[in-house]
Amino acid sequence: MTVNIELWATDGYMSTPDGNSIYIWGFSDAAGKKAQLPGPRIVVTQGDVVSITVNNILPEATSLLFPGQSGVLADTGTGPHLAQPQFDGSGNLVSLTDFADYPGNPDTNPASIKYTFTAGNPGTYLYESGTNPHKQVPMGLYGAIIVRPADYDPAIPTRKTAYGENTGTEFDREYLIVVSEIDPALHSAVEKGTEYKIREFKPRYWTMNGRCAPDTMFADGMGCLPNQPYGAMIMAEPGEKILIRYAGSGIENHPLHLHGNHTRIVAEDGRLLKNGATDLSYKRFTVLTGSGQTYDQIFTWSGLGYSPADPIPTTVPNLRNLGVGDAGWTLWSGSPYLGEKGDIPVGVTSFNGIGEYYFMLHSHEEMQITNWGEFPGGMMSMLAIFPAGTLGDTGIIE
Amino acid sequence: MTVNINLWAKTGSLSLPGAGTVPFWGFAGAAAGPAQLPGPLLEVPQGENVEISLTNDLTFGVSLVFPGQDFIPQPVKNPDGAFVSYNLETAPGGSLIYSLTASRPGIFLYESGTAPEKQIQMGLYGAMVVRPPGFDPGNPATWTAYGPGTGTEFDVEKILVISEVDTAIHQALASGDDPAAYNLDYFLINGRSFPDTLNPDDSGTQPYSGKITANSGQRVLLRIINAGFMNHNIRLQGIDIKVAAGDSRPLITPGLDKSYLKHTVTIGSGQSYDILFTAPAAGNYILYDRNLNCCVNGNNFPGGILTMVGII
Repeated sequence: MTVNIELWATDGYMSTPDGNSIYIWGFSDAAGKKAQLPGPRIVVTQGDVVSITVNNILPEATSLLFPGQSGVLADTGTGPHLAQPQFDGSGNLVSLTDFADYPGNPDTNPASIKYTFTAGNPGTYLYESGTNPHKQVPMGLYGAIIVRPADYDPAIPTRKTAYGENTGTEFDREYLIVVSEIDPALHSAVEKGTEYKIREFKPRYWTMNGRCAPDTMFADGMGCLPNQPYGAMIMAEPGEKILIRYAGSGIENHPLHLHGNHTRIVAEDGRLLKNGATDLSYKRFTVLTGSGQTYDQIFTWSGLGYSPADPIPTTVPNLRNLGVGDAGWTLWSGSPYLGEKGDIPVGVTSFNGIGEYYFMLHSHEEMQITNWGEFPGGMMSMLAIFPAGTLGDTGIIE
Repeated sequence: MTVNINLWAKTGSLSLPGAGTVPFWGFAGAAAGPAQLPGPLLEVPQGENVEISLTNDLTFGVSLVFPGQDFIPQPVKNPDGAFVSYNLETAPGGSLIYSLTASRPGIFLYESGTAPEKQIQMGLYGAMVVRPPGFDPGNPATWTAYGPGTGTEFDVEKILVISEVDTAIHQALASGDDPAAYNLDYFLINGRSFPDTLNPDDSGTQPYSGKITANSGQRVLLRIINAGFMNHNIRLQGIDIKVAAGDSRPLITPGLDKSYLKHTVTIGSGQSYDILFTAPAAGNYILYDRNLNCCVNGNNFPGGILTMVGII
């Protein structure tokens, strides 16, 4: 199948929970729309011929790299050719790949470019700017691609997988979390056209899917976050296979840490950790998400003695593993769990009417769970376990 | 048998794009030769006893350590118990022999074990390749990284030593001052910052090219070793790479293949990865640090840890 996607490289603003509004560059999926952070999710199927056209309305050239894809072709109107690093007439490298020029500079390239590749492998991938990437990638010119395996069929449990039937990657719900950093000084300098020294890069915000906590826990498509459409809250029911796709789109590496659960890493960079019969997958409590890399993990929350057949309250998980704050702040119904509500301890308020409870998911570099130094914030979200049968079709990426 | 190697520790002058010349301390392979960055590439057969005679032309003590290799360091302490050096020091103007047994094949660092926070930053490091049994430089059919059955046959081999330079620290240390806070501003492949990485091998202070050249279809072995302070996320754009060894431990052994595919590999400080790929269609493929702040010279992009794989 051929998939045609159009992106616009443009600007916009992102909101942070402390009231800041930060100028961004990014991609939108329609002419006239503001840039969103991260760029539009692209979901295709293994074997698809994927054509992505970038229409550039930024004041400088831009481009796309597709790490993990091979044989990417670029076409600026003269016919497709292998995408290549670009040099100027003096032999200076001007872009890591073929680029779309900025409007009004018709002397060189047109302001749009079409990249085409065959999605050869299932998995999780990034797309990101290859032009002035030290500036354009932190400004927001990145997004993620999910490639479904060729035999993907969400109606058949053995074929609702990340990497194909019999690869051990079946899942019930999936979540994509793209992590990055924001140095407001860079964004302000680009907005005002003033000088910025990359050696002084100092992030103040850390994002999951372009949002800082607690906005990470809002649903997709919140009206108050018009340019940050993707939530980062993981929601699942007991016993389900949860697929989390981490993608590091920033400059730095981030140790992402999920309280109370070990996840099994089944693939990195969109390549299954399996050689024939040799299973190379491994479990982690904290996944060091390297920049420019992706990590697909599958795990099941089964609780401390819980089983779907016996949803009787058992030992409450240790409070250290729950999302807690001061008395009155605890995100725990007070009941042992999952639908069996009871009296809650004195001083604790219930915010979760269904009886779900929460494990924190955050960067273990604790400075990164602040918004400009104020805890809590930044690269933090929650895993929420809901009573069986209450979630519907939440957690499937379209 | 014993392999005898001579090294000299000296001062020298680096050329970095946009920074002019920067003083450094490095190893030379000849009494009359210049200090170089990285130090001379040492190549020894597995199983040999290696004796490295270090002559110290610097004005302070220097030593050698061989991380990951079979040697017995003799740490040095002051009479008051304060730690001085990870291994016996060669006094200024003196010389000393350091011995190791090259018991395993692979790619290793040799580096100073004295005041390493200064001396390694200043350039006192280099790479050593230990060849597996049966390796014959004259017979390509014998070329493997780790011997038969390790899946590491290659046609083209390239060693890439990753590191960083703080030019202000270099100036301070070279003039006898104590370093201020580190603020690394140059990022190196084989002692060079892009675009110098693309220049061919030469006989200067930064003699090793960072460019990889191969014919389409050839099996290419990249041996990337991180001599710097930072972790680096090395990406080869547009080519699937197979990780065949980490820290010179082969991932393929008879009956068990633990190699895996990636496009970007996080290489921690002091670590090494052997990666393999089959050269694809003709073209230029960039190899760079996805920590994009290391693809600059000072504040200017492009630079730093960036080079090309040229497929013909």
